[in-house]
Amino acid sequence: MSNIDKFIESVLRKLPADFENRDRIAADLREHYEVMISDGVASEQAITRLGDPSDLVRELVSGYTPTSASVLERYAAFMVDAIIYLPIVLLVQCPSSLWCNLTSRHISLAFLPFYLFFLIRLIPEIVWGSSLGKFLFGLRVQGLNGSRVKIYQVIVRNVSWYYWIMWIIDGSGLLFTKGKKRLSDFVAGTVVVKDKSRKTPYWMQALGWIIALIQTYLLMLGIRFISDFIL
Amino acid sequence: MTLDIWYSDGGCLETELKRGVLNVVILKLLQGHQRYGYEIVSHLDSIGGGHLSIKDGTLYPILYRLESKGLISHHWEAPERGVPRKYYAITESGAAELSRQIDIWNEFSETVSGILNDGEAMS
Repeated sequence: MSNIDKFIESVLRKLPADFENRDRIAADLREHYEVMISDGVASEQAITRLGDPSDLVRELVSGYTPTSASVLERYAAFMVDAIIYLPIVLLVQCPSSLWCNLTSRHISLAFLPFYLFFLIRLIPEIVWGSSLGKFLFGLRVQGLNGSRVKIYQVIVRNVSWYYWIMWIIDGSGLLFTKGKKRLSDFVAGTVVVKDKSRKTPYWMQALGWIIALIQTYLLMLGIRFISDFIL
Repeated sequence: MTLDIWYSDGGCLETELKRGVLNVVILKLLQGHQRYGYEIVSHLDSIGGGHLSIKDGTLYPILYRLESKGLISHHWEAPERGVPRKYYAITESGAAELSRQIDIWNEFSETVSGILNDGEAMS
């Protein structure tokens, strides 16, 4: 990889995931470098002249505000993540909390989905900024200033998944908040954005939508089953 | 002791002034001349006596802001020999804005110079 490729990659990697004009920034920096080289400037000196990538990024993101990804895509991504979680919530957590006094046996069963969810959602979000569902839809969690999400932020924004009533309250934020964010995203200082730093293949998104639709259908069946069972 | 502590981001007076005037200086450089990025930075180096020098990369955020406001435009030119270059030119609204900014600067600098250089003004 050439010096200018490394420089450009360093700049693009530091930009917020949803930052626009990546191709333009790369093309402009490359043109500037090549003009310097054609003018007789040595490669190392040309890179030095371009400056510190962090300073450049700071200038580029001045005045930047993140744009939340669409609610529909975030819902679909959640449905993909919930492929294991949701059936257990519907079959175990909801009924046990609605028609039983929670015993220690019920409690361990009721909180089982949370432990599973921790594995399939939190760990990938901490490591890569995207859970499996978000990865399929090209979404990413980041700080409000575009920074990489921190461990405590991932935990705070996902703590409501601990119990089904909590995540219904948490999700209500999507309906009335500016930026269509969950309430826990406000507390954590995070936002889910469309990741423009990578191209998401169409087949991946199609696969995500198929899983999400099947999950939605199963969710509706589950809710009907529970309501019939209780009533 | 310097006055750097007056500026919240740790910058100094020269940095703050440079940040404030670069937009208008770049517009002025493009008035009547279309220039490519490296040429603009080289001019800033040579005409400003070092006061207006910037790292080459940081020119582009300024150009993007000027372009997003419709004050400058760009086009590519591929010479017969050499690498293709992206030329920037001032627009009509850019020229009008430049004229307005020059008036503001003249009035502002005259006022501040009057205060700073005239001891009577403060008494």
